Amino acid sequence: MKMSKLKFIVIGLITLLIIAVTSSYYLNEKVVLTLGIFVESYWDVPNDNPYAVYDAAIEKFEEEYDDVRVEYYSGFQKDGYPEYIAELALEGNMPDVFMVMKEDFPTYSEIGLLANLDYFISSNHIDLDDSFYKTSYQAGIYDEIQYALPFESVPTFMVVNTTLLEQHGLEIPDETWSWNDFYNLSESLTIDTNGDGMIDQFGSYNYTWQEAAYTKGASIFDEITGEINIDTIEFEESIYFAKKIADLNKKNAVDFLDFDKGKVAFQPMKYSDYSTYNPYPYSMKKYSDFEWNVVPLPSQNGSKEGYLVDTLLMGVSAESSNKVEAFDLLTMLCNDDEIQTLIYTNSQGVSPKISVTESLPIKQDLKNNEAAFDVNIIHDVMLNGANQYKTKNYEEIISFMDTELYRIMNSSDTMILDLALLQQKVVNYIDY
Amino acid sequence: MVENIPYKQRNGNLFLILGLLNAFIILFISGVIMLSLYQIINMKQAQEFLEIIQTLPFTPPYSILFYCITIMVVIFLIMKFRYESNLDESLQLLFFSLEVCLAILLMYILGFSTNAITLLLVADALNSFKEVKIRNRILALLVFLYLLSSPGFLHIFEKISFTTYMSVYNSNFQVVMHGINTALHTFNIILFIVYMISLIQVEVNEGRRVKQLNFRLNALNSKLKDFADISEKMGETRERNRLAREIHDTLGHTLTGLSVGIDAAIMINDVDQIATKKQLQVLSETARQGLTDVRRSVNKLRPDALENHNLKAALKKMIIDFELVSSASINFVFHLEDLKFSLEEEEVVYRVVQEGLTNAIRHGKAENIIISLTLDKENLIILIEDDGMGCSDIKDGFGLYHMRERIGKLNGTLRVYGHQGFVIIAEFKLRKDSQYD
Repeated sequence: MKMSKLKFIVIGLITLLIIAVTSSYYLNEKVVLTLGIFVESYWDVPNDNPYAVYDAAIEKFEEEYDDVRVEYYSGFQKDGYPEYIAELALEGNMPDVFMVMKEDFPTYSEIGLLANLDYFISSNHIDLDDSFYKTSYQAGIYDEIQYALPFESVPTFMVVNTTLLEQHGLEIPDETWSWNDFYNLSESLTIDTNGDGMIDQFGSYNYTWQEAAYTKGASIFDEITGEINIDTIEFEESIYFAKKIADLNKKNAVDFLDFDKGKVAFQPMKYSDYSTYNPYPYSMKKYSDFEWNVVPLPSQNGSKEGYLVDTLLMGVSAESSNKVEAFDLLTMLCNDDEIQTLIYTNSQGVSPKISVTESLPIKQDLKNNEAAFDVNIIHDVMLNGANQYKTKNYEEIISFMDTELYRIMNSSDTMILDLALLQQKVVNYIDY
Repeated sequence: MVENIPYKQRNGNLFLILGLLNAFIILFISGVIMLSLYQIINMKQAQEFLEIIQTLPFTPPYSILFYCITIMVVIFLIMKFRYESNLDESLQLLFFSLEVCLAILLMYILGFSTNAITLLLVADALNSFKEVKIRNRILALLVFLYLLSSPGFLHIFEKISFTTYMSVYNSNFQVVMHGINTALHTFNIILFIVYMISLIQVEVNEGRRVKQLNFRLNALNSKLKDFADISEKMGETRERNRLAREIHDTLGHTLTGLSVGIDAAIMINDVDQIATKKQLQVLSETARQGLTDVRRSVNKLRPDALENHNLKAALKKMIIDFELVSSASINFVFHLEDLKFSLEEEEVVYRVVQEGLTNAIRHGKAENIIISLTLDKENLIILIEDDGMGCSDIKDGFGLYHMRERIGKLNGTLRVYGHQGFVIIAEFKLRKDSQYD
């Protein structure tokens, strides 16, 4: 018995020694971090160097950390990226830091692909409220845990055909405009200009129930339980308003070409879509023979609430063996003012960092330009961005609801009953 | 306690088959999982797969097969080691815990898509641990583990079921794979049940064997008792023979001499009175000699103890001897220090106590015996009381008969009661010359 105890101790000591030797060997090795990114060629915007932001961040990071090297694979496009990440996850070959798309975030959090960042955030004394717009960093929260940080945000604005409004002697709305203002303006702009009995000028295009619901603060999902929650007065009112706006067009099919032709007064547009129209950020493009401007979406009573903001997230792999360094790289990408400023010049989104957006050097230039994109509007919209809904299969649920709501809006007289039915349908759909 | 029977005798073959089947199941599942993961990656279905799972599978895929085989081999080696070396219970428990931990690790690596191995552990535990308390605790723990690791039972362990992996294949292939998987698991359960039944059979057989052995032992015991009785009787017979011979040799001889001498004296009395007188003197001498011989013979019959000690010491010695050979505790009360008994009385007292003790221990199986000797006026009372089985229907056996006979010689009485334990009360009047000194 004593003999075997001694043996155990000896074996234990030898094992410890081996672990110590191997770990010291590995500690002396240069840490290699891998970065998982995709190039947003989504909008086909000409870009000299799509990797400029990442390259700058990596260069700055490697300067600060002598013993860390960062690698990334170039060339992944947005469409193939989730599959690429999923394959790496199954192979156990996850990049240490990687981009997370909004629709994949709940899945990644739930299956444990993303590392819990709460500890790193508090140990690095990062105050999320001070650093980021609330709507942006909250996009990286799942089950009350911060799994990802915002890298880039894309708010949705209302693009206004100012020429059209001026022609009709209407005042161009500011950020405090309400649903009523929007409806009244749209109504008075929806007319048959050439008298052929067909409406050929429209108030709005592409204003959907989602814009209405967000700006009304009608949650599609219960914030606490995450369950679908559309059987509410707020949601009903949102749908009713979206229906009212849609009904103005009297079933005439409006498309984006009508807006391009200057036949539509209002169109909700993502900042990134807007960038498609504007190869050079912040310089207003003159299109056709009309001028246009950008205002926030109309809120229910001018209270500037619930603006739509999409956010591209970045997280640390839960399986990363160098989480501390990986988190430092993550903060370099997301929380460094110098790097984040590059988003405005090299990417199609806006920076989720408050300090960066607030101190945009091009602010003045924009103000001088008559049709400029007011940076204050970006700041305003980002500050009042709605909470992002996060649930697994979010996109599927929304597109399912889209179809159903289209039918309800076009046929129903008993909307609240139909919404109750729809709620049940969606629950069944999720369960299935 | 039945001795631990080596596993080879306890359905070793069945256990081996169960083990091999488990190894095969693990090999099958881990192989399928590994190939499925590569298939998912090749078919560009990784993103879809992530959507339907609750937790990530173990990575990288090839390591699943590698780790599973390694862990399985280690588990078997530990089992082999445990069965072949003679470890004490606590070390057995330690190694068994190691097995359980490895099995949990194995199930974890497989995403809890199979829990077949818990059944092997149950069989192993039943095979290894005999103590009911330990065994029950281990079984409860394993049943708990089995339930937790069952697909669809609670969400304590994050699981990826076999079905989930199958969902990436076309339905024909799914049917075949599900068939194999179900068949393997069903076969595992059947084999486990068969093993359990055979294990129970072994235990039942063991119990039966013990019963038989016990029965035979009892039979031998009673035979031995019969032999003891016979040899006791033979001893008595021998003693009687010796007595007869003694009487024949001494008393018979003397009496014969005396009767012949007396006949001669009668005949010569009328002729020669002087000669007669002489003859009678010789006869008297002979009779006295005969008496001496008889005394000597009787002395020979006295118990050794009485020969060398006084009554109290002899009784004490006897009681100690009885206590030594039985588990009974004997309480001896003797308040007659100053009393002097005749030899005959001493012997009667000694024999009565001896017979009483023998009865109490042999027939009554008594645990506590009280013996008291007291004097009531001129009567000596011997009380022998025990807490044994007693006897509701008392028939005088050899022992009681002898006691009665002995007490009777001293004009005493013997009473026995057998309702609660067994009580013997012997009473006789002491002779005058045996009164206080």
